[in-house]
Amino acid sequence: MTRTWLLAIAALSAAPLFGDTVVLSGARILDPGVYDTEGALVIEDGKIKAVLEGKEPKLPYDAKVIDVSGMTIFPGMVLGRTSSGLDRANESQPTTPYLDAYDAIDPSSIRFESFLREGVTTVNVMQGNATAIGGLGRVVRPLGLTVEEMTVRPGSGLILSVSDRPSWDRVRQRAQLRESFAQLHDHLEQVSEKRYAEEQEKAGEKVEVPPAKARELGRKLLRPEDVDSQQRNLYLLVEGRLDAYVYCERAQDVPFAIELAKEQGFLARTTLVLGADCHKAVDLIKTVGRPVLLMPTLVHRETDPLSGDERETFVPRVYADADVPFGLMVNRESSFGERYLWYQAALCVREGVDRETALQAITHVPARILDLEGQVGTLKAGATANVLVLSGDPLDAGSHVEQVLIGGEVVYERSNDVRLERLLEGSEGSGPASEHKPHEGEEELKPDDADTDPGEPKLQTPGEQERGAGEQKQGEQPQPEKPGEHDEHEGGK
Amino acid sequence: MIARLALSTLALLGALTAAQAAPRLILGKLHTATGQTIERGALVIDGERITYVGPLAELEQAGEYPTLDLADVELTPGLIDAAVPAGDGSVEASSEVVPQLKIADALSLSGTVWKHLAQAGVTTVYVTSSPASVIGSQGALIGTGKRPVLLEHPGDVKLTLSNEAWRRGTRNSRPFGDSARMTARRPNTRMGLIWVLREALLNAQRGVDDPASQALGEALAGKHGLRVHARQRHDIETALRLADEFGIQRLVFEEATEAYHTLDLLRGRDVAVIYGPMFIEPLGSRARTGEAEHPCLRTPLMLKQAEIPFCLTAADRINEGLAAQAMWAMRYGLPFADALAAVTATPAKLLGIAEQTGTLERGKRADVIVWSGKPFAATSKPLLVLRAGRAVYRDAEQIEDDDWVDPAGDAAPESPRRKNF
Repeated sequence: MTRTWLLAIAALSAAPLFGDTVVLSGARILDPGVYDTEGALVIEDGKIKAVLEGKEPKLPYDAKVIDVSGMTIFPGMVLGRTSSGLDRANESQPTTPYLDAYDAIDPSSIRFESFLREGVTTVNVMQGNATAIGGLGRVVRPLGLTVEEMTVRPGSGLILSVSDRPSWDRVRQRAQLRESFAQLHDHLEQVSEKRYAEEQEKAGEKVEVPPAKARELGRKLLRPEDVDSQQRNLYLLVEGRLDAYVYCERAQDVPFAIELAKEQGFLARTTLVLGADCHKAVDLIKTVGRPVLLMPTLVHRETDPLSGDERETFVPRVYADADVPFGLMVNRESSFGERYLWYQAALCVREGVDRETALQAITHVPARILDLEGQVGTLKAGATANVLVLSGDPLDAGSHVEQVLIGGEVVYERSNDVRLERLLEGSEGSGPASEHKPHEGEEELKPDDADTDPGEPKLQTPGEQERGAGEQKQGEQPQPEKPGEHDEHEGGK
Repeated sequence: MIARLALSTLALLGALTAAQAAPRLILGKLHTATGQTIERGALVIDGERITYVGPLAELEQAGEYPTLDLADVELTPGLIDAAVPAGDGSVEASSEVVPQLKIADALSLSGTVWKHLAQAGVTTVYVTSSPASVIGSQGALIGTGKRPVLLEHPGDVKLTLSNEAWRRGTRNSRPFGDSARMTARRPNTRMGLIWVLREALLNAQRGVDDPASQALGEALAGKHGLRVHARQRHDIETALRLADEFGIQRLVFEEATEAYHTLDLLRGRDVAVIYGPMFIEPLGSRARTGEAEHPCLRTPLMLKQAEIPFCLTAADRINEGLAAQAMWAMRYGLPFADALAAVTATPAKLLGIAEQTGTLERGKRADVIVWSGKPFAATSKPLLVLRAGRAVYRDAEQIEDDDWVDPAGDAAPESPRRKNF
């Protein structure tokens, strides 16, 4: 009798509670390189359980079924790096590894709402490129009232830059980096000696060893709490316990970046963030054997100084042809298109990169870079159920994000999107011109005429070509030409 | 997609000797911008003109033409951007009313921007004056490519109602010639702006004898078109009031960000709207004006539904391109046929060049784009762009044969047709 009761209770507790299983049915299920089929997606307990292929698959009897006929199911997109969500993109100090994005992420930022609307469900929020060694990043989902609620993975990595930045030339930048690591090692030597002495005291022994030996032994005993809080993250970095995102603006920066990472012991956890003409060093980049992140300006134009000939390169194509996996980023301060991950991927397809690679560059590859492979950016079984319901193919400009699920729950529906409605239909107010308030995270824009990236061509009148040179000297209107110099153009804001 | 050339021996000989004279054939899906789409279409180009547009099946002796036959390509007319702004070098600081000047005299045709425009499929652009002048200079019509050419056009005169013309007044500098009178300085309020406009228009009406008034008088008489640069609702309304006051029959609005608020005012009048660029959030100088805070993404669709003639422009967003503007307009509801017209046939009509270009029709100038897929799709791009039958852009990877495409090459100088020089 008791045994039957026990069995019955066991059976009850094993059965899933009503509502834990969600099924999206009737759609095209697309996961680049994994699925491209008609069927139904089964979500259980916030994770992807299975994909049931076929037009009329047999659905679990107790599942809550959401009919998304005619739609396309796609993994929630992953953004490998952005400074959107921080109040300011960069610190003024060059070496600040002790900072943490945790302290600056604003959950109420409108950027997170935009991410949901655009179908980006995993975001790595980090400082910008105008640094030597920046702070810790954090991988978040764009949902939640507190940073804790939003966090997917704390301490996602440190940002380093080996390129010059405003008011620092390359020589100074590299000297700063070397200096910072030298200071770290000095400090580590000190605390190692202390640690060794501590251990000796505890053990009650008094073995005399030369200082070098003491440091060596002490280093092995070192724990993060022994290291000064200002140096701790750098210590973790050189111990291979933190990811590194190393920004290289130009091809000449790549060898230095790789050497530095190798020397300091974090090459195996380095993701190169590549700008401008780094594609020229693609062979060297390939030797690192890690996927890379590409800055959002995907077309690189160069003018030969002698002949005036212009050469244009579509950057992702170089990496695709060399079989280097790459992740794409967005530029939120740029024109319409570059704000969207799907548009960046569509440009890749336009220029000859195959569809699968392009789609993986906004899903699988950034997930891998963020150490979340198989957990986000995919519809494989076991992954977190971050899922988009699109009205069509993700690379079609006419497709819209209709619904977003995070952890299996519907967190965005286009039909309820009030802000979008206002954008589509126009808002009421048309009062006197308001003073432009800089958007959060935006640097004060220099006064200039065009509504463009510095790279945009302008119709030159002959006088202007000469005047352009003159104006530089005046100092009133310097036109920043280099990408990456101002944070409007670093990897996503 | 490697070009497969279909040549008959006759045509081959023809191609080598009098290459430009031999008619050439392009196959693909044709979007003529006359409301017609031809699935398995053929386009025959003879010299500078189109001599056949229609189904391949109905083309006689099709096999005799040197043919460009690529898989999955679609053809449209060359795109026309009706309002590309000239740079700051075109703003004459000595006076804020300069309708007598010509942008054509300021433009440098040796920049790479013309090449980039051609690469993006834009074969003809109208360069409009900067909104920094209250009444700006006459615009210029340019055919793009590596060797851009100045085309004949009377040049529209532009009235600026947006605050770019009076915001700069806060940094007043003495104009040329020594005059410290208030009337010689730039306006620095909207009141001042409207007063400058009124004074200029009144002088023009009265036939005052100075170059600016004469030129503006000619514009009022219809010799030049009149454009208005306005973004906000009250600026559009003011412009229409001024038009009524001074008997201006036809106005063309540029930018018109808040046109969606004034559909009823614009409907039924002789107006056209050059709308663009599209944005969710303005950037740069446009953001600094504070006038573009309330965009409406469905505006192109609303303009179409209100039957107000409009075209799209990329304005200063040259890199992103006019095709992208069509893409965004379609994303937010505008049907493909209307988007195509808004970047081809409609701007051609607006600029008065509809007889030569703007559609794929027999007898018109061969301004053609061969797209790698569906036109304006994010995954498509122009593979070949022809202006007047010669290639102004060719995707070197996809289209190999130089001889067919442009035997004389982009190197052959075209005679620039300048009327006033």
